Amino acid sequence: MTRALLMLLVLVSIACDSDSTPTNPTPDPFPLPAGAPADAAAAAGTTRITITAVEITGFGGGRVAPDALKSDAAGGYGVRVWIFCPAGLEGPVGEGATREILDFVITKRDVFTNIGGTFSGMVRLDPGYNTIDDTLSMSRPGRQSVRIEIRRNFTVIATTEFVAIFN
Amino acid sequence: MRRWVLPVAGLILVVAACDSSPTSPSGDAALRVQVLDERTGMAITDSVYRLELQLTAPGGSYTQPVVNGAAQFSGIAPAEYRLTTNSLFGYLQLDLLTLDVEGSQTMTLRLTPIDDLGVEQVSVDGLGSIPKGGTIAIPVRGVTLRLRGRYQSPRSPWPAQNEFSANIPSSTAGIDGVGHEGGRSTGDALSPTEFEIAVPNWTPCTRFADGRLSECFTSSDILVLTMSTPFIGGFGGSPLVRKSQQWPLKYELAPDCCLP
Repeated sequence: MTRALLMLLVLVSIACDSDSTPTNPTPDPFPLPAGAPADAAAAAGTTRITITAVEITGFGGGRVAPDALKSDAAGGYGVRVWIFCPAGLEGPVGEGATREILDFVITKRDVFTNIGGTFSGMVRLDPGYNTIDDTLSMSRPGRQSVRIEIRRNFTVIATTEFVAIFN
Repeated sequence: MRRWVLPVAGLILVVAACDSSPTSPSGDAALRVQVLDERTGMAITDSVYRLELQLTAPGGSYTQPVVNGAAQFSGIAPAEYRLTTNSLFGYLQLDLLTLDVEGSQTMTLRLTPIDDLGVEQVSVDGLGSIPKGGTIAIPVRGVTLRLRGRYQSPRSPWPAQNEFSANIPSSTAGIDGVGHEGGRSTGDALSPTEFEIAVPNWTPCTRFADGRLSECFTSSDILVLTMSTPFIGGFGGSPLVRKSQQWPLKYELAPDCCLP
């Protein structure tokens, strides 16, 4: 009798195993990757996909402020966009006709002439920290507005913008 | 006889305990969610969006409509729930939210207004409205399919004549039905909030050759909808949103219509 009851308990336990545990969206389980700037860290409790920092680096690898760029900098500047993705919002997900389109668009425009262009592409967001790399340069002193968008099925889900000042 | 009592009772217990369909067990917890437009900070009170909120936990799920800017859950079992939003169109929940619900609680949910569209009516010229799960008889020449619905576009608002288009993929084979015999889909904004997509000579088939249809399918589950900026002077036509909407349909193909 006891053996039968024990067997019954085991049966119920195995058959009812569920994998639909709610996700904890806090960024705490995701440490900043090695080499990431401190300001790329997402605030505790961040619940949405967030562009946390835009890191501009010079030819030598040192970080440069966006308002202290040089138009004659050899090779221009590197731009690394840091994106935090809470677990559960990673993508693209789905398949076939319902496969998500997850992409980024970086629009750069001369503030005075309004001439510019875009750099875009598909992106994959894993839980935790993700990066997109681009470049920034200007052939003469001036200002360039930079707008960065992360889009899911063409809907903007995260964005940031700044003005790069070239002396 | 008694030898069978325990195994049978056990079997019943296992079946009862493992019912995985969504359930709504009753409890003594309550949650009121006030729903705000993130841009304006105002409550979303317009019922045109058909907003509803869902609480999901391993033990059950609850769904409530947003009425006058709030959804009220009562008599729910205390647990940790994931809160998600469904709508016909118009708003997106950017945040992934889990919350411990016990006792009586109130919270605020901020939704982002987006460029979006949703179909409210599928119809066929000569047949009328086709409900979800309905069947469409398909002659060899196809049917004129009309999809009517609502949209909003903060990035390209009326009077911009945004472009609307739809694909209806097969529920199994991963192929789309198309208009043929010169059929061209046209999707137009009818007003600041309404659109219509018309597809003449539509068939649930991908090819039409020598008077016969081929690569046909007999059921579909979703409509894949796209809204784009107007195409003017060689510019534009940029997608504003692409989404899929559940609208199951069945198709009865005309006898001898199709190549095997």
